[in-house]
Amino acid sequence: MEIQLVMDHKTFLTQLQSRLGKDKGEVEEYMSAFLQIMKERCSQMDSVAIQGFGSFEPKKKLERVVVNPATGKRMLVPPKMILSFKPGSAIKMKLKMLSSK
Amino acid sequence: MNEKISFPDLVTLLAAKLNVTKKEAEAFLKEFFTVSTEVISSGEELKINDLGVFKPIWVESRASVNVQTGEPVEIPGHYKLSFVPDKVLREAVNAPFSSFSVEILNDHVSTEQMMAVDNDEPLDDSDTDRDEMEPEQLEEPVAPEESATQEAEQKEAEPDAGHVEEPVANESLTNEADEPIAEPLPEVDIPTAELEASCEPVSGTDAESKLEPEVTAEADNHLPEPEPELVAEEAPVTEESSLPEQLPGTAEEKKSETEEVSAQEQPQPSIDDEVDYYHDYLQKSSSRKAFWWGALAGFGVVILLGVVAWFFLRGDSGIKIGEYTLSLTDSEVFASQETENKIADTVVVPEPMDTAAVVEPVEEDTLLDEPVAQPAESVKPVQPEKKVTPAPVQPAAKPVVETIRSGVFLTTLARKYFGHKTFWVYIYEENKGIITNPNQVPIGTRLIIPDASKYHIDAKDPHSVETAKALAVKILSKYE
Repeated sequence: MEIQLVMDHKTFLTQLQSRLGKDKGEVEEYMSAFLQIMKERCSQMDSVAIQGFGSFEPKKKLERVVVNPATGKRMLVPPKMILSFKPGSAIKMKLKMLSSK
Repeated sequence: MNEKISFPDLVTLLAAKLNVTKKEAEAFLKEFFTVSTEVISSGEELKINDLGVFKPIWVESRASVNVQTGEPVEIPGHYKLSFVPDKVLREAVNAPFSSFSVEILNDHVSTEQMMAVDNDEPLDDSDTDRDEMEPEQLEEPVAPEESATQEAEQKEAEPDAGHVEEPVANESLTNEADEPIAEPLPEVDIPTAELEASCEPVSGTDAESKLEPEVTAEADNHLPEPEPELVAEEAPVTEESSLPEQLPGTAEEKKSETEEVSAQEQPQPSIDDEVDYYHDYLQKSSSRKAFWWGALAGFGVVILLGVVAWFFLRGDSGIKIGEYTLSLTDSEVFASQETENKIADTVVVPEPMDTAAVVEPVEEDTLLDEPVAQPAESVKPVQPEKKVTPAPVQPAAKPVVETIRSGVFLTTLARKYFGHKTFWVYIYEENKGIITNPNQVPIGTRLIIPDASKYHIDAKDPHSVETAKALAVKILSKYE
């Protein structure tokens, strides 16, 4: 298994800056606005689908009963909303290529 | 709601938000996703604050089967993309359900819990043998200590069987309502109490000549906890008088049994008849059958006690002070003793309603009396009466009150308390006066949750569920 590299937020922003030719403050402004939109929309059960990248979709999970194997206690896990992400075709393709390497 | 936002929509939204041209917004978003894709595609993990982490995960190749042909197929190793939303985003999405939390279910006793109860039982058994009828006063916590001591006693007692048996038998006859239990005395399982008794008797015999502490105590009249018990037991034997006593804890009772044994030996002459009777008894006890019966009964009682105790243990276990007035046999007269015992062991649960407590004691007394009388006529056990009975029998007293909150419905309450949502109808029935429309119970309404037994609620009984469903249809038809 190869070592997994991690690109953090900062590096990502820097890369974005160089690509866009904008300064840091501007990019951050865009970023936060974009993320806010995502947040608003997703919490309204809207899904965000980006061609080629993937789609973010809030999903409802039903309540369920689980058993703690260690203690044998039964717990009722409440229903919840989770944000799922489904990779789009382009990303899938690229990952496939990566896999075959 | 449930809209699907596409890339152009996103661009529009972003442009509107930032007051920039769509072109600029599009350029940004395009770059954003392009860079993201590139990073992810290179196998790197991408972390974006407030959004989440994209992480390509390597999945090892594994064998599978072609569903169509049944041929084995190997799925080659590949990457899959995982996305873990950031905490901020996750919570924003889950906001409508954020009030919920994981809840531990107590409704049904799990198998492990049952096992735990069983383990505790042996301790109680000894108590229970006598107390069986009395009451399930015994609580598990107390039992453990006793059990330990009992076990030790048992070991000692067994070797002495011959000698011990008689006393035990006597005890069993006098004290124990359950004959079956008494019979198996020699056996370790059931009669822990008996064993104790037997053990003590042994010591008693040895000590008798010496004047055991117990004996001396008896003479003194003022006996520590154990002594009073002895006195009480003796009294029954002699038939002289039954005095109302507040029952000491079960533990005390046990002790009393043992003391009784010693006491019995002393006054033996009067008891000869009884002794013969006991011999017969012992012989019977030797029979396997009897033993198993006893074991079965003991086990049943233990389970019952465990369940009841479990119910009541939740409440505080109050400790009561018992007064003992004991009358002695011909040979010895014991003055009444008042002993205040704080018996943690006895496990007196004050919770039960007064009425419940009153009722139970009566039952116990009657039960005890009968059985005792049968075995040995001469022996009348004076049953200690419990003024304050911690009758853990029925938890009926305390009405459960639930307040309707957002997200809480009749059905959810029904599921919580009765194990099936259909039983909401009974909650409705119980609160008819308060609920105008079962479909719309206002938030803040305080509902009384009925006792499951009141309506024969049993989630495992299909018939019960069906009945509830029928009732639900009937009720709902009024509101449609």
